[in-house]
Amino acid sequence: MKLVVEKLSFSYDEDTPLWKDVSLTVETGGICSILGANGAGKSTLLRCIIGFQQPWSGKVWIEEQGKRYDSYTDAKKFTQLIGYVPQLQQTPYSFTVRDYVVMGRAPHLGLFQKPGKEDYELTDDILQEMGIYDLKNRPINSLSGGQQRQATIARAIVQEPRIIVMDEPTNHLDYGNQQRVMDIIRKLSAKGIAVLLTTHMPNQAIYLGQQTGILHNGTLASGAAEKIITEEALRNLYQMSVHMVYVPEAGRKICIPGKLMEHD
Amino acid sequence: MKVLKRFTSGGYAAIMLLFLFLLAAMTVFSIGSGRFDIGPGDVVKILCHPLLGIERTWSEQAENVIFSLRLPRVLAAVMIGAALSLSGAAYQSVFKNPLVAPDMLGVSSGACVGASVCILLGLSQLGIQVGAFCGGLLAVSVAVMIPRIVGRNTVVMLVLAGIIVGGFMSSLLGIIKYVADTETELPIITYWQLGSLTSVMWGNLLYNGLPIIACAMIMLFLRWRMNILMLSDEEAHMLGHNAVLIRYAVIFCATVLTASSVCISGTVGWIGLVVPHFARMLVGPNNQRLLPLAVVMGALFLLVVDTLSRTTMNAEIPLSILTGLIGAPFYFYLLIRQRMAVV
Repeated sequence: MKLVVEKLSFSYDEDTPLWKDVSLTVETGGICSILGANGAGKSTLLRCIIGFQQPWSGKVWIEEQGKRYDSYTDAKKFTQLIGYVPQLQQTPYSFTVRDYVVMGRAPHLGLFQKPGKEDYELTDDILQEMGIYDLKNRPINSLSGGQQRQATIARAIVQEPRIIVMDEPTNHLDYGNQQRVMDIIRKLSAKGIAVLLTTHMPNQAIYLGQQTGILHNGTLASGAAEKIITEEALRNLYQMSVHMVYVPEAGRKICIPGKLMEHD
Repeated sequence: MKVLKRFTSGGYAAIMLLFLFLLAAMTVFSIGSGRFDIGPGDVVKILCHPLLGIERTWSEQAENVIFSLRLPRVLAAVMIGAALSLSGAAYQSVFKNPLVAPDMLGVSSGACVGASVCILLGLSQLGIQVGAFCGGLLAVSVAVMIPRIVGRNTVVMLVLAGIIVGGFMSSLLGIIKYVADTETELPIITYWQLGSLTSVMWGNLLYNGLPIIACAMIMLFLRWRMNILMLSDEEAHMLGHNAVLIRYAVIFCATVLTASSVCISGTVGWIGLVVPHFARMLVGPNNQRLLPLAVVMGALFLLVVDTLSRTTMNAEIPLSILTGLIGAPFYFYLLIRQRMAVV
């Protein structure tokens, strides 16, 4: 499996592009984290990649078993292969967790079909795996932010996609739940499900490793995480002093925001 | 409410059975009551007579009253109550807003304008019904076009478009009422706006009933899909690449339901707002369970209201007066209960 984004450009008005010529490739089990300042257009980029928003120019497709599925012309197959986890939000109606998660089966069901026994069994299995099976009859809005996040990820997994796109999956979560989501992402990757996500935390991108993209000034610089995430790049991106320190106990570099010492 | 609570814990099937039973009982009671009283036993016998051929122990008159007057009227109440409640529930799902009523996109006000124009032109009952149907569809078509013209095809835009069309239509209606003849035309328009089932006959029941039943079936078949439309627009797209198409199909069917109902009964308020709300409190927002229950509860509600309307006083009370008098306080009660429960 391979998700290919080729020379994607987007603009709200005719002349100034929000970003242009964005290209990236995510392969089976790969992780790609996208960093960028507020308003850089990260969410818009994801919405264009999943085919919800029309880019100005460029193409997105998924190669699977020797076949190519375009985001527009093969929308049905494309939506079966790609799962989407939106930013945390309140829903106007509070479905039970089980009713909510089983909706992930929709791309595989016919128009007038409803989920059957196997769909509910798969749902229950995933809920077990995510450790939220006991909550299955609770209304989704009564759950904590972390549990809601897990339910939304569970819905994407139930869809059995080859790649999951997550828009700021750790937003509004406490410290522990942020790390839990990171571990879920690594588990997905180990299982061969690719993950493309946006985040505001450089340390998360370093922890997840693999591929990172920095969306800045309308262009995306992407490559291996350790090559892309440098002090200079982060200073440029966030307009503040940032230090990268190697922590031997962690076996990786850690990004420290602000000044190191009073006199620095 | 306590009995209801016990049934709620018994699950969806128990609630559904309870309301089906209430609907059946109310149907028999309603057919029997009126200026010419018929006992419930006789009602059941007379209704079964054409099928089972039970021996006649009742008067010819009772049979006549039932088959030519009461039965079509009761069927109309059941069908319109069900249709308005179903389209209300569907609109509330599709627009992701529990405060949306079936006339959101201007169906009712458009139908009112269509009917009033026909009344002004002095057309027959049939002409008025056709006018109402066309007016309703026209209003919704305009409302659906507005987001496309503006170039932002979102749910919020559609709701705003409904407000524009609804506002414009009620001003048109104001003009029509202003120029209408106060002795002859104005009372008809006013009476029509308040809703009534006095003009129900087998004929108009049949040709308005067919589109209602057809569209209701489509919506009931689509009901699990409708759940997905209740998520954010991006999620709806990702869980079904044809979400926009399904949304418009549901809006179209709900509009036909409302417009066809308005053709028979004039505008009847509150049902599409209050009944789905109550049903959602009992079985939750999942359309899989919500829509069938809303159908049965809506039918029961309008049947009760129509029976009251034709039996309590010498003259018939217009339906919207009763649905408002019962529906508004009941809605208030539901909101209080909802605030106390965590929903």
